[in-house]
Amino acid sequence: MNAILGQVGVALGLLSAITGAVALLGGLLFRNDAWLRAAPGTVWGVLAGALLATGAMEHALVTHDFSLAYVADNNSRETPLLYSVTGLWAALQGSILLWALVLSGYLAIMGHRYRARVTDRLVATALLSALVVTIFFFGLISGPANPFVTVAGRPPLDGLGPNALLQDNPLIAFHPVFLYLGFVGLTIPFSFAIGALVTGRLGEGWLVETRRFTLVAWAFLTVGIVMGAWWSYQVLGWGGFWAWDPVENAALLPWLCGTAYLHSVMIQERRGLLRVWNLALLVSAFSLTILGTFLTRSGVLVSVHTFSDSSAVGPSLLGFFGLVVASGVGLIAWRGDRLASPGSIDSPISREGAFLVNNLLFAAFAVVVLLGTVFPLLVQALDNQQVTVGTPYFDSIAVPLGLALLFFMAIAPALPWRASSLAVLRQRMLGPVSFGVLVIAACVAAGVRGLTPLAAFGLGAVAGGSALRQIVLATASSQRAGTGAWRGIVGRANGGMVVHIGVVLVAVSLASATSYGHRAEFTLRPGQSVSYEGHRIEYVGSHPFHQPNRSGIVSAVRVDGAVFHPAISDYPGYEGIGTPAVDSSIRDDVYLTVNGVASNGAGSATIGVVEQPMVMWLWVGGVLTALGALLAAFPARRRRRDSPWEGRVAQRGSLPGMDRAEMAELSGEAARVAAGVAE
Amino acid sequence: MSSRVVWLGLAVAAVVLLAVGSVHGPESSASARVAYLESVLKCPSCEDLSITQSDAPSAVALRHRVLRWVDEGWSDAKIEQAVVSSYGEAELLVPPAGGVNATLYILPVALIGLATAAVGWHLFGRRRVERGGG
Repeated sequence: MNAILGQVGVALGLLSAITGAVALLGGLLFRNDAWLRAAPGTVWGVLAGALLATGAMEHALVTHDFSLAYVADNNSRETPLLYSVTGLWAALQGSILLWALVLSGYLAIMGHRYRARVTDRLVATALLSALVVTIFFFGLISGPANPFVTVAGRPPLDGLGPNALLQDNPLIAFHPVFLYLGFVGLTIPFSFAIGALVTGRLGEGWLVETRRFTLVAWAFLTVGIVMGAWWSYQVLGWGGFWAWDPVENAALLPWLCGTAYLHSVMIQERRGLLRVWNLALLVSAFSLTILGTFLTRSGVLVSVHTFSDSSAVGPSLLGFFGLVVASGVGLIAWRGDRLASPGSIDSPISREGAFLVNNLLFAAFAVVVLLGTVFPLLVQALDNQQVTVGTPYFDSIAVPLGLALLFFMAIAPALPWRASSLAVLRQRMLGPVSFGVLVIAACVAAGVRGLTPLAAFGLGAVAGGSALRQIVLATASSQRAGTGAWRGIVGRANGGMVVHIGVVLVAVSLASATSYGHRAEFTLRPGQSVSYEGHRIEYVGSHPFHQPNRSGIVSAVRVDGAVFHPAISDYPGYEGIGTPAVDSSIRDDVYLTVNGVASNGAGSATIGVVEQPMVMWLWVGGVLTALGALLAAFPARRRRRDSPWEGRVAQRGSLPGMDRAEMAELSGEAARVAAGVAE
Repeated sequence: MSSRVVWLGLAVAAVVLLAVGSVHGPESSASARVAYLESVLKCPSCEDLSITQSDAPSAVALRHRVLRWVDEGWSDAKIEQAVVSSYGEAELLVPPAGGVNATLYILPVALIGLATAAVGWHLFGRRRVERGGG
């Protein structure tokens, strides 16, 4: 029954998407508005199909319907309910179904939102592009990645269960979902970019339409990546959170392109510049989500995060990636004559000058990550050699690029648009730079050593100080204007500053944890303790445990008086899976693993200890970054044509610490926030 | 005091502090050397994990050998060579820069150079041409 319902859902979604695409194509080709108007309604059929298919799969997982091969491979009668539900994304076929569901949701929002404007050829073409992407993914789950294939003969009495790592921590319920919400969300701005290119309406209108979609997708992707790092930290047992693994890199690549785009798009909106660049970034961000899926799901690259692969989807994904790139590049080349910028950047000492350099750095970062990820594959194909590109290579490039990005993140908010002077920059940056030097001095006085981490702390302080300065000025300005102090953190520019503070926390935490971490291993008898990096660690004892889905040994380890329980678990088919325990504080984390203990828990145990400073700030920074993105996307009030805002600011004069030019910028910013147009 | 003097003071202070802070940095300690080597050497029985990241018996054994070699005063290069002799070049997570691997290092530098030139042209050269042209 589940198989039939699922197949019906997939067929409904696919047919609805095809119907919508045909109606749009026909409407566009034959200039038939009735067909165009009929098309948005089909998105509800797509969503209904995706919901039916997903519901059928979830029902099959929760009721252990082993007649489905996917359930037999990724579920067992002992699998807890939570991990039965998350079994939907425990392997390739279910993951593609989740992708289709998320895409259907975005498509429904798009179709509903633009239903009244679908006779606009740009909107119609954008919806057609999104439907073509939808057809591809429904095509995958109808064919090479069909999750509703039934087992041959009698269904097994029990299934294999999910991979042990996918039933060891509840974070698995959230991290992949957020990641997919980010990946798939990029489909909407990509579709509008294609619409703009096809119709030749390459002004700034389509950018304004897709700005919030892009920001929301970026925020989801950010949360997904940070949650993925947290999951790795909590589950994999080596105390790290980022390993430049192909799956991690596949998520980072579109994030880098998306971050570059969110900055450069402001130059196009303000000045009409960088049109080709922005289109290229959107095409790159979307196509890299497809390439990443191909690299990590087709079996061509191996990753600790790849829990299943299927060479059957490889050619389809690669072919679709080629189609996306060829379409994007081809259309940009075709529309080259209309994409010429109406002017150029007036001065390198300007907001757009700093954004241009930051875009260069983000692009370089993305190229290096892509090159390092695919290099082993290329060398093997071309030279039949086996090489491995690991963390040290990526770090050697990422660290200088990261420091340069912190530098430009610090100065860009202080620079006005169009043109400025060094004198203005000096005046605005004096406070943040003084703060940065003070932080370095405090670190050196406290005995902190190392050029790279000190540079990261100093630049982080300058960037954080610069962002905080903007928030304080915007908040004070809003308060004086009577629009409420809270508006100082709302809107793209102000929310962006909250994002900057979050990114600074992430950067400082990364520099601290990776530069000053320590790891050791102690073999201790019950009751025996050691001092390690300022912590008292005592081994209390171990005992076996048995749960429906796993058994093993759990140890009790006292760290500075509090007891933690690292374990070694055996799942059906997977033995000796370590479950770490973490004593987390704002100062440092003490990460505990059981590396060796007798099977009955008696006698001494070997305890692995990793001490890393400031790890908690990585998660706090991630949350703040996502919160800032939401504030940046926050819908401001509707336009008030008689808004007295600008005049009132002008009458009252400038705020302390703000020059006249900055007052004008801020009043313009606040006016846009109040008007609800630019933000 | 003029703002230029303040900025000069801040610049000198930052350089001096960073120079002082760079002496005896974490990079030079024995434990930092071990951490670096453990991140550079691949777990012999794994696909893409370093010996830091894996608890496979082969990774644990290699970690113990690295500790012993560092204690005995071996250089990083000698340790890497010893591992390559035993397991092959794919055991290094940073491929040697020679041959086709040079692309891995040259290409990013070349691309960043080209992009810098393009940005430089956009920021400086283009305006000069526009001004010169009229």
